[in-house]
Amino acid sequence: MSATTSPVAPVPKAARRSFGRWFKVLGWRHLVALGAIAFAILPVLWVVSAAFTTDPTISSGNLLPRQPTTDNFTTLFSNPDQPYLKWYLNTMVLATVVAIFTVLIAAGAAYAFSRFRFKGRRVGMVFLLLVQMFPQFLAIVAIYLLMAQVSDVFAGVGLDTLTGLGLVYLGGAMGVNAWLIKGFFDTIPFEIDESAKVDGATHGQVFWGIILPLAAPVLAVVGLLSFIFTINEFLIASTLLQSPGTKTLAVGLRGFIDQQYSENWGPFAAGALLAAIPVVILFIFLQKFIVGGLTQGSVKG
Amino acid sequence: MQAMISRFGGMPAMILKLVFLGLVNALAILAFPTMISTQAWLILGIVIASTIALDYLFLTKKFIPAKYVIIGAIFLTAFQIIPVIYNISIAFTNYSTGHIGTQPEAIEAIVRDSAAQTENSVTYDMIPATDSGGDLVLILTPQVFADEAAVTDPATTEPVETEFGGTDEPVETEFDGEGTTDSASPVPSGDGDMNVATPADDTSYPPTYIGTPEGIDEVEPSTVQRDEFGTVTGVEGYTNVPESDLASNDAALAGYDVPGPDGGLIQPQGLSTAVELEPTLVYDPVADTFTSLQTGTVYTDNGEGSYTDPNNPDDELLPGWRETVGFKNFFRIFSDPDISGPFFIVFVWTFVYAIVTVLLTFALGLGLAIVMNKPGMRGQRVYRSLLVIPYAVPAFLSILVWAALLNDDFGAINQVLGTSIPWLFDPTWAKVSCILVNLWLGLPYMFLISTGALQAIPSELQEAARVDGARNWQVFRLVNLPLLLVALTPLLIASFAFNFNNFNNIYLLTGGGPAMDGSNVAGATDILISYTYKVAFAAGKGNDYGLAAAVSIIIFMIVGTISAISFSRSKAIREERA
Repeated sequence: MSATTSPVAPVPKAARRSFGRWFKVLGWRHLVALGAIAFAILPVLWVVSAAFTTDPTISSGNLLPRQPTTDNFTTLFSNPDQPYLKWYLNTMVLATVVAIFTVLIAAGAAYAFSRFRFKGRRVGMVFLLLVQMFPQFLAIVAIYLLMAQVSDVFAGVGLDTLTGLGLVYLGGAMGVNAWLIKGFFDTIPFEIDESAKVDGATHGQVFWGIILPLAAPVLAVVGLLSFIFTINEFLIASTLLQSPGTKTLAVGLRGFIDQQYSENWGPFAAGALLAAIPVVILFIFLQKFIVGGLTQGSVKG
Repeated sequence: MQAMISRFGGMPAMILKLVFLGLVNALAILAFPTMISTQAWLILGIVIASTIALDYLFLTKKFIPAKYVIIGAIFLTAFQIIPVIYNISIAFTNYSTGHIGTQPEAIEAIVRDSAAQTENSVTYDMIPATDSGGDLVLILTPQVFADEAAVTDPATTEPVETEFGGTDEPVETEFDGEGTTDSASPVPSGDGDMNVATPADDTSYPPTYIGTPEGIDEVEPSTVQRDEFGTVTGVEGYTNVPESDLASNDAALAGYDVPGPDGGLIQPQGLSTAVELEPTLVYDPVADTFTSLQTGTVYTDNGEGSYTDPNNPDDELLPGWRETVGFKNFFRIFSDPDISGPFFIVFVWTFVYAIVTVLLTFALGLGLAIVMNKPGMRGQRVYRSLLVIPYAVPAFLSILVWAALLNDDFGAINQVLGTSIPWLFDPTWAKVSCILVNLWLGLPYMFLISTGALQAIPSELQEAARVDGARNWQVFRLVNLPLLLVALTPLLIASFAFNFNNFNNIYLLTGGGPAMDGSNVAGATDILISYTYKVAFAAGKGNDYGLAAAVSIIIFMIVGTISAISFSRSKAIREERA
């Protein structure tokens, strides 16, 4: 696949070679990279341009709107049947709360598995991993019917409530995340918490005061992954949530695209743009950890 | 360090703990009566077990590790383990639209639904009223000078449909309220001589009854209040529901059944009349059969949650009830021609989709990584961060955007290419679109892991191969590729398992469509999980929870086998076992 001759050292500027030779060694690589980038960012450019134009032909064909306008955003915020702002808040609050609890639940389990030796520890850890083999969403029928029963008892956490949806999501909080965090906890020297205990710290103080602050990077990654998971989750959300006011962005925006197509594209693009921004910012912020984790995982095998 | 620690210890932590436990216990106790009355035993069990476990573990000084696991364990049990077990049990039942409740509920509903107006049915003038206790009653007077219009109204000659609702479905009411706010005078009030229509003395009046859900009672004629035409306007001791409140009592009236004198059922029709309906099916509790009064057909319990005519098994009384049916749902998947054909197509496509997606994305991601992994190439950092953009955008948004881009009429792709390819509405093109969009979504990931793995290959190995005379292609094929595959195979398997159940990519892009010939549920791009979703929840086509649960078990067995193989090789578990 790599058709070059020998490993090429950085080209000294003084000895610049002919264009043909440059192209054969490096130039075509730039072409391939640019092609791949065009493929990667075209949909993103389309969203940005469609968000700022109301002309349907421009929104579909041209990438640069001739007369930029914010009408789409006005339309987006003013439709009471599709309360975008409510969905936005629903999603962000739900994703944040679920992320925080996921981190706490998984970190608690990881602390127990990393710092204590007790009967059933290994069985428990393997069980956690095995239970993930049956992904939660596969039991969607049972989750729906269970939540329908919960509605009769605790109406506030049953069907069609964000709290209920959040509780269901927390069912998947411990599994893989506990393993991930435990791996990090294991790298924190045991001497640190032992010396704290000698100084009179309780296990709770060691957990909250020493382990958690030291593990901040991995907690941030787990929190971010949970945050993104919640934002993206459609299957369970669309099954449990029914009324417009409780929907998440994924369930609500799907309705936009589902209806009369091209008329809704402008507001849809505006909504998509606004929804993507916080996630992309978070991603850039934590990119180092995520990409590092991915490549590290791949090398470890 | 000491300062940091002290913030979290001592009294505040203790108080927080007690407040938390107090809330948990208060909630559990508050919900207790409701859980008993709604017979929500499963939830009751979860709540009691969780509360006891929390109380005990947070107050004892023993079992320290358990304190840190318990909350996660409760969530895991309640929302993952129990649903999985419940799901398996549903797969062996006929739980579906028309088979929601228990057998006694079904018998009651069949009798109620069979009620129809017959030739001898009595029509009553009705006045909704409240008794001294404030409960709704009906003041009923048989129509003797029956108004022609009321009797021949086509709506009242049909059997009354009462939806046999499950716990989650609102019961539909059929009230139109049309023209019913007038007073219920069967006697036309003309502007001629008023005395003509007025009966001469009290004895000619028909009896008036008070109808309650317990039955009807004749009232003392002297307590009946009448207007100058002799029309009943009320009964002493009862307060008529004001006209302005009638509309809001709509639902209560629609569900108000009064047992009639001869085994029939008096039901309100509109706001001012009620009709006595006779059941057309009779249940025999001894023989456990239904007999139709009209045709004489005897319906028996078919053992699968329905009463059917043994001579004609398709003649089924609805609703049925929930019944354990063993492996019937699984047999249906493989032998019912309406299901097995589409299921097989969906099954094959799920594999094709997952395998093609992973291999294509990996091949292109690896190729890109090799092309970009060149010392001396400028702009690599910029290129990389641009290539990773699709990975940063929430996938559901990207997929919806692609759905707009690929629209055949107005989509940007067709506009730019000048084509009119039915990207999402032709079975073949829709499959291509699904793979194309998944390629876009997955390329950054494959690019990143390939780059990481490439850079981890020791350069000495490649140099040694070159010294031995290997060409570039040979170096790649014999040195790099095997090492890459060793490192990346677990991730590729995980990627396969993920795409096998990549519901979002299919459902948000094509909705599983276009429709597949020979199936009203499955579409050409449906994968197993989206098919499951549609079987269970598809609007307007009925909910077959039993079948959907069975399909989800089949998915689990496939994905579980794959995961089990990769787990058993996983380093993490081996280390824990060591």
